[in-house]
Amino acid sequence: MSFFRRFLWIGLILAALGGCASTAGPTLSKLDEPNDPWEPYNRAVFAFNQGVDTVVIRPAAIAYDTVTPTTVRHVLRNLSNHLSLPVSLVNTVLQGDWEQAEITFWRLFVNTTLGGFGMLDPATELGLPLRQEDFGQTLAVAGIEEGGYFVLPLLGPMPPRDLVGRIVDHAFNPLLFLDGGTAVSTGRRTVDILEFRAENMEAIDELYRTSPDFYAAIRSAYRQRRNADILNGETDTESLPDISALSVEVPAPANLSLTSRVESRSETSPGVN
Amino acid sequence: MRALMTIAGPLVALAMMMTAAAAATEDTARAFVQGLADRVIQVLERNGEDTAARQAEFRDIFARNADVEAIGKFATGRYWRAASEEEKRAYLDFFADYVSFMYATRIDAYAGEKLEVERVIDAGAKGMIVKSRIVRADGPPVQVDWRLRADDGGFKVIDLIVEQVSMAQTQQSEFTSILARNGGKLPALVEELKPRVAGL
Repeated sequence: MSFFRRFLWIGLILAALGGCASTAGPTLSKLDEPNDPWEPYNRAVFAFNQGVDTVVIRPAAIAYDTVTPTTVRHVLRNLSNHLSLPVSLVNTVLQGDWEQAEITFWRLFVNTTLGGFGMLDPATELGLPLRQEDFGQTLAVAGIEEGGYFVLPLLGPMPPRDLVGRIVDHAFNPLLFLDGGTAVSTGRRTVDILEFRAENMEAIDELYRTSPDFYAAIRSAYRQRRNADILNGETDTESLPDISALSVEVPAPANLSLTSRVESRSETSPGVN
Repeated sequence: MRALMTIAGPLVALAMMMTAAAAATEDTARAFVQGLADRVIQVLERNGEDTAARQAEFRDIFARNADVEAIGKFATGRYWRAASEEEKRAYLDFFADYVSFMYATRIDAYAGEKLEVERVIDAGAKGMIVKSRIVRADGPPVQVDWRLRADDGGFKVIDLIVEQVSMAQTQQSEFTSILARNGGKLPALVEELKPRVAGL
């Protein structure tokens, strides 16, 4: 398929989406219900992915962490982030976020030139921080629902909205139109996975060790991260859950709150006990 | 003119007092988090070798500065209402140990790091959000948001949101998933969680 025809195809999808785009803001995933219609299948695939992590990804990430010098890792991280910018740029435009589109454009320009084809990242210091946008987020901004939790072998959590997003972004990836682009793209994905695993080694291992239901924890964490991505990291105070104090129905043990109030007066930092 | 002054004067004074009060609450929220984080990090560093002592001290700080019961109730989601008073009490007694254990083991990874408070968002009835980041020697900083609830002139922590993932929300997802498999019974949940704490 030629580039032009791909472009046309995307345009058609967007025109269709435009019809159902709402002004009520992006569609976020609900967190207080599992919305997991294929749970038995998902759990099986999740268990398989966990096996792959134990046998392949985790050991590889440990090796990567040990072998790769910090400077090299820094450069690899920068390159990987840089390669994501064209797709991010297209998606910020599709979301109608011109301010961010401008930032992404200048980031791409500065880091390609001053940053030596993205090996360094002078843009962040110049007030052009990285923000990745993908077609899954664009769909959410257009008001499309997540469509139920879904786990793919090796690729992990991929609900329908993000699956469509991934496919569209892939079709649009300018790298794939270059000679050797596929190899670069594969290399980049590998670095991304190893970086993510190495960077979060303790956090992931700890969560796995302590979580009473690791599958449910990851399902929730994935949605929370996606919601945050869709909201561009802004805190949406409206959608915060109510974590309300226990009403008088259960008698509270009397000791704790009293001591805390007495002691807080003698502390230098207010209220901390 | 005089009449206007008599009305406007107190109104202006009142308005000024209200802004001052709001600023004070945001400042105290900031100070509360900074103080709490400093204490936790201190504890993590001081008892470097003795895990049991460190966890005991952490649990003490946690019990006094977090609204353990609110967090525990939230974690059970819609199953809370159907439980009996005795079940709730037994569950909350267990949960106090469980949750401080959880937070302690997860926060252990940040021993020796520094926490910087960035800004405070007043979410009204939903409480205060104190945005902070943990600056790490190697690797990018970790974004940590503290959700606080006003409590008798002070604050109680009701949630920690690490890199956009809320501990309360994640815990609710885990617990309700277990409850759904066990007919929504709180005692069954406690039985399933007990070995976790023992094994840590």
